Amino acid sequence: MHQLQDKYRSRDVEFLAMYVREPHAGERGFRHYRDHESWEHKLEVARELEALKDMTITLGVDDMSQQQHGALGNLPNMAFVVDKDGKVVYRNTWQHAEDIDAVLAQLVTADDPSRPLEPTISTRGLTGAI
Amino acid sequence: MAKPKGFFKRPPGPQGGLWSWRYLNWFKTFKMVNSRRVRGFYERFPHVVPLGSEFPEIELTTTDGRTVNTREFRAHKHFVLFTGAIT
Repeated sequence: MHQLQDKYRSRDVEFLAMYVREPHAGERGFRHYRDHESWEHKLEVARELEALKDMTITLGVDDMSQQQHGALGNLPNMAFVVDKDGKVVYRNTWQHAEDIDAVLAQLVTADDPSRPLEPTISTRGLTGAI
Repeated sequence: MAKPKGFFKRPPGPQGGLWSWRYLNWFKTFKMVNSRRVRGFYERFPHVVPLGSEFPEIELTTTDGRTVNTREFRAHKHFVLFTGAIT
C-alpha cells in the first residue's frame, strides 16, 4: 500500500487505513496481543501498528462498537477504491495490491489522459513472513 | 474500468494461501472460517456496499487525535480505504 501511495500521491489519490478489531489476538504468532479492552487500549495498539509497519498512510481507528467497520461489511482485511464522485469502483475482501493498482491507474489516466499510468505493482515473491 | 476478480475466500499468497496457518490457531481458525457468523459476513459482503453505489460516510479518529471523514475527499480525490490490524 505504501508503494501505491508513493506512486499515486501526486495524482489526487488519498489512502486511508482503518484500524479494526484484532481477529487473531492471543493465537500462536500473537500471544501477547489481546482483544481490545478499552478505547485507550485500542488506540495504543493502533499506534503500535503504525510504528511496526512504519506507516505513512493515515490510520483511522474505528470506535469500540465497530460501527463504521460494520457498515462496510465487518471483514478484517477489506479494501475499497472510491472515485471522486463518491462511488465504489472496486472492493474486495482482501487487499490485493495488483488489482488496486490497475483500478487506480485507470482512474488517474481517465482524469488526465496526457499523463497515463500503467499498473506496476507486483506482490510476487511475498514470503508470508510477518 | 478493471473488473474486480471477485472475493478471496482465503488470503492469496504462498502455499495456496495457507501461509497464515503457520502462526494462527488451527482449531480456532478452522472453527471461525466455518462458523455461520463469519460465513454470513462473506455472503453479505457483495450486497453491503455494491460496486457503483455511494460509499457511506466514514468518520474515524486518527492515532494523533484528529478526525478524518471520507466526505472531505468528495469531488477532490479518489481514495483507497482498507481495513486491518496487527494480528
